[in-house]
Amino acid sequence: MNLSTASSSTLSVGHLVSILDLSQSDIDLVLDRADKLGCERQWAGRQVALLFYENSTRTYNSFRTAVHRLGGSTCGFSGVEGTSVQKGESLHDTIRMFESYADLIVLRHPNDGAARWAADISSVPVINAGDGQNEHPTQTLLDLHAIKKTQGRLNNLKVALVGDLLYGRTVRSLSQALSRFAGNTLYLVSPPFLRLPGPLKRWLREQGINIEERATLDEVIPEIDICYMTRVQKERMSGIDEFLRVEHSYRLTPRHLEEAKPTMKVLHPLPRVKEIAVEVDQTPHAYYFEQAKGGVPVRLALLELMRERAIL
Amino acid sequence: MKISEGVIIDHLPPWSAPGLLALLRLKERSERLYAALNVPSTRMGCKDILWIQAYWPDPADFFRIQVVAPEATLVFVEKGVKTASVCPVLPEMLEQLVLCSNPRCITRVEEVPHKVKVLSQDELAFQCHYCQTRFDKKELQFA
Repeated sequence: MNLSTASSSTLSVGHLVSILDLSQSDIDLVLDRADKLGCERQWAGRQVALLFYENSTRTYNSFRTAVHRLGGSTCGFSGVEGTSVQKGESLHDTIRMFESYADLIVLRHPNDGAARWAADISSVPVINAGDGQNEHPTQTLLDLHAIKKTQGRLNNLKVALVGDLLYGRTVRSLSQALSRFAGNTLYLVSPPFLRLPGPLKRWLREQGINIEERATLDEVIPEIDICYMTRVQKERMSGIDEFLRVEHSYRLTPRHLEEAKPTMKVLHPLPRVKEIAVEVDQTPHAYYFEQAKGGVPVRLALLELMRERAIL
Repeated sequence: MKISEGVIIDHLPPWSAPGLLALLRLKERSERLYAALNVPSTRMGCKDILWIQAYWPDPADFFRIQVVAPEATLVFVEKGVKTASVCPVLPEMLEQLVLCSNPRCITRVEEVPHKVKVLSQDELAFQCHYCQTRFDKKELQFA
């Protein structure tokens, strides 16, 4: 794709691997489009490969739904059972095959950096739908969509990131995205052994974002605009005994919300396990299911914009 | 010490020369090689110096020298005359030279060309092109 053809009404990138691939105006463009979808059948007669090496419910199905609403079809797999991957086929060879079947590849892979490698070798655009512990940029786009809808802005926000900040890829992408907007403060609430990696914290501070580490939810609830809860990534941890001893400290209950601002919203990339008590669902602060509903329009907007960019 | 063709590597930290020779795979060559270990230096207090006949470092060797000796100076010799003096400077991207420090990186499970960005020449800070892991000299592994 030729970057020189991009204008302010098109994306500036051909692939979406990291949330940092998108400029602030790219992010605004996707979020604005998500709210004004016309569902033109831009993908009619075209195919999108959904290559999900890890199981997925929301991301896989929201991409699939978005492609179908745009008139396109999908191919690929969700989980590697029954595929050539089980026979030992490399990611390289799988990408080289599917680039001949599809006009765009959506990839989820258990290894960090897999999406960048795929983008380097693919002749068609690649969207990262989660690579190991590294990034999940389309989840971040719908997180930002929810934040903008509820707070009316993406700057000058106080956001708590709670739980597993070490292994969670959504937190990595969201924290980097929030650094694109001025005046944001991140409160990092996690046990010491699940803290955001030091090099990422240093990088975020270099970008001008204010970071404060807190031990408990009680300390931050009265101050924040967004409480972003995360699940412990048990599948990525070697031992979780230590976490199980402290997990109640990072479980959000209605009691915590008594001190919250009326406009404060609780977000979660889902699936939820125990980190949010079900009683929270009934409070006006719960927004995670509405947040998840943004998955289709946001991914639909992204697909539309990538298609428009490819046509230019 | 005199070499007619090759390179003099000066301003090496004291006692670093044997390790550097191993890193540059120069230990088993038949060409002449002189080493001065732990000799007085105005700039460094003490230093090592290497005079290596018939050797011209490639970009990968430049990088290896800089990792061991960030203040090293390389003096090239042709027909017995010193022709150029350079300090190693790293390119923006190191290709096939360094392994990513992240054990979960795609480069550890597939045949992927190793690509690492140089974030800081002075502090020797790096970032994997693929998984974005940032690491420094302490975690450095050569490819």
